[in-house]
Amino acid sequence: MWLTVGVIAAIVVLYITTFAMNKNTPVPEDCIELIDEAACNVCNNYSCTLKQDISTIKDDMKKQIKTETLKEGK
Amino acid sequence: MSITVFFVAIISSMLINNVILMRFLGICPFLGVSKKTESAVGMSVAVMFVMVIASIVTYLLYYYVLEPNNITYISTIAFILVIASLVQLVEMFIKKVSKKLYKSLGIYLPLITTNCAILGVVELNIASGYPTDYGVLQGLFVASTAAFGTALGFGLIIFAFSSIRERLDSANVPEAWKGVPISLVIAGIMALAFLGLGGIV
Repeated sequence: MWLTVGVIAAIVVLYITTFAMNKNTPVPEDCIELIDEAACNVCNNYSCTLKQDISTIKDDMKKQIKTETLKEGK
Repeated sequence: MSITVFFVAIISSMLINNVILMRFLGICPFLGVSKKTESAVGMSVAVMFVMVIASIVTYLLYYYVLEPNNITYISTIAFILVIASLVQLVEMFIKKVSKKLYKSLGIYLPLITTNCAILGVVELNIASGYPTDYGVLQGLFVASTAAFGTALGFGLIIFAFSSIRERLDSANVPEAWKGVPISLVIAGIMALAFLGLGGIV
């Protein structure tokens, strides 16, 4: 019983230590935006307003490209 | 132990028992990170890195700490915590050592903590009972090879899927089928195709 508690406690302490160490290590400045972008891409919360904004911008851009290519074709 | 064992472990875990299409693990990153090929490759490499290291560490923990002390019932909790700690350690190490590597791989590391494919592979390695066939140390090599093969399979599928999704962006898909619905149909067709590989090994 005590061994079980001891092993779990040891691993929890290990996790907290590594988490704290990782948090105290600064992220390279040019990567901060990339991390946010990656997290946003993976997230499947479609009610998120930020995600909706991004998808609206993408749709607008697609429509713009389509109309421009159609005009060029004419 | 012959080289055939390793070859079979890689082929079997990569194609026949593919982690995504046959075991349905890691579906979240499969759908989430497969929008762009670039991010799919980054995620695959990060998964490969963590999967192999996690397999080695958890295998050693199980056979040298949990099993001798007869506390294998805490293995799942222990593995979850070990994987989470490992991801933190690897992320910190990459942050310090190489900015370039962090840029291409490190940004996906926090997302891997919640990837069930990693825990699934680790549990499968233990359930496969490699030590009874090969001994504990040689079993470790087979387990890590199987983990590598699984990660290759994960990468292969996520890369193929991202290429298809990129092409779908410019395809004329009916409004109701756009996005996730058509992606799931394609995933189903891919799973059927991979089912045909059963029985090779």
